[in-house]
Amino acid sequence: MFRDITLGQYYPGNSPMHRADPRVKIILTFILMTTIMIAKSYTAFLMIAGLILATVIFCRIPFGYTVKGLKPIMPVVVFAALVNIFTTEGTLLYKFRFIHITYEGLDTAAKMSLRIVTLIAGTSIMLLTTTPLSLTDGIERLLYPLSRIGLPVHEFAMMMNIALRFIPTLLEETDKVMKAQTSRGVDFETGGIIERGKSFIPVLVPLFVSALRRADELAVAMEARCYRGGKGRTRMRQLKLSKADLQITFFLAAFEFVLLYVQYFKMPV
Amino acid sequence: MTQIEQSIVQKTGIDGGKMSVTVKNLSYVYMKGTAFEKKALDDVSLNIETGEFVGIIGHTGSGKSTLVQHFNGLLKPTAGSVFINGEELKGNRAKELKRKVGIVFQYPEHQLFEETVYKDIAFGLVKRGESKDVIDEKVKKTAKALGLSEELLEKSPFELSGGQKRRAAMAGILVLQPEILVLDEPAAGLDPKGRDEIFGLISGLHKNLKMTVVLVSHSMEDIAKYVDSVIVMNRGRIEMSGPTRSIFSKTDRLEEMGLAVPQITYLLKRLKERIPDINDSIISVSEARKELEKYLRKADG
Repeated sequence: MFRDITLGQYYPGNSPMHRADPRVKIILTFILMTTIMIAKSYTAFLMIAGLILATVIFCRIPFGYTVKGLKPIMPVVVFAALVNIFTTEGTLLYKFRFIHITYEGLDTAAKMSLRIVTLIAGTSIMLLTTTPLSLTDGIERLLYPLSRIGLPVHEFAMMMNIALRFIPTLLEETDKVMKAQTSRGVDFETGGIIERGKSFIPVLVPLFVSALRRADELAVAMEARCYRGGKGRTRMRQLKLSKADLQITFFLAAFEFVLLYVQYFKMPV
Repeated sequence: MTQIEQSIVQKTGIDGGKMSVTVKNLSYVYMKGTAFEKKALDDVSLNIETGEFVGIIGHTGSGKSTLVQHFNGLLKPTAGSVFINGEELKGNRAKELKRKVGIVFQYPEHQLFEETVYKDIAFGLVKRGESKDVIDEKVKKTAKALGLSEELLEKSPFELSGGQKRRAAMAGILVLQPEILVLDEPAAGLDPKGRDEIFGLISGLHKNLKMTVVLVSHSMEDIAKYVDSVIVMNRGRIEMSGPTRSIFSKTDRLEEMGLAVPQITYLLKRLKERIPDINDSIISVSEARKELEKYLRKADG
């Protein structure tokens, strides 16, 4: 039932994107995100969408897999678009009592939708090509300078790591408990909101009980292996830059260059 | 009949009924259309007769659990069909048919959630909309039959001991009076006493109530001791099936699949290498004892 969630789930492969250093991928993703945030013209969005599409094909991630990851944010996109359509002032296109739609409203709504969709699709490429483990590794290394001013960077990364590690376990557990309760006559698929909400109590209680038990066991297991936080801890897997990092950096740099050229010097759409 | 068994017959009124499970050309694929696609069942067909006690054995990941989850519609076949009592498990009749199959999952105590044991056992009946009196009667009788005392019923299920929790969780299924009972490793993690109690109960349900029982287990000893016939699963297919004794005579094929025969069978086979006139088609300790006594008497006389 729950095994089909894809947002941020690793999809195995062997492209340069898969092999690249997580630090590089995180930085490049941030650059891409900034580009999306400051993009103003439809040409720019078209190019960004093209880049994302090309990367998806290049990484050999099935297209449907990426699209499925976008589904959960669709309500947000629709909401943002509607708010923009009805609240932006400008040249009137259509008016009916208190509803007025303006040219500017439609324009901002379209751009806002494009922005959210490309933003999510862009970041999900990183999540789809990076194992959760190396992702938190990368985050930890990138945030390391902050530990100088007393922020618990390692502990933060470890917490994220553990949380990510247990998502599949919890999903599996949820699936199991749901099946067991279904066998006892719980119906998760029909009924009103309240009815359905109620039917999750028999799932949530066992789930919490087992999550707490797991947490306890994990803590004991970590202590038994002498885990005592980040101080003086060495790492088994050292992050190293490789050819793949150079390739994807060069790729994005070339893209940014072309985008800047088109936007600011050639076609002021 | 032991006392517990008798009280189940008398007090719960569970009656065997006429029932069978038929599976035709069943295939099931997990996460179809992704990189994680995995064929868990591949063209499986089988027949479980009314009142039979069937064991399903197989290596981890051989598709045993996937198979039994089709019996009450928890999983929908990718291809093929499942019949309960001759009727296909789909459409309008599905809801009715599902109720005839009770599945006790591995570590069933992990599904306990109510404030009291009583409420937890009653949960399924409440969901079915039974009247308060009927619920009260059935819960008390099932609890008694499973050896759960009245004062335990008012406790929180999380205060019980391991064996008690397991029995409370099983009561939650048995109170629904299924005609076919599927058990996935019912004795996993229990001490020998708890193990005997659980199996005593199950074979009581089978023998005295003619309930159809399907036992999924890794323990060849338990399979040899309790079931009439065995289905051997390997890589999503049924590798062989037949009467328990004939399955356990195929030591080599079972070992190829990462399975084994009961320890006592190995012992008798080794003995036969030295003493040719011993019968080595033996699968339980009590049989072995009889056979050895027979041999010793002959040797003496």
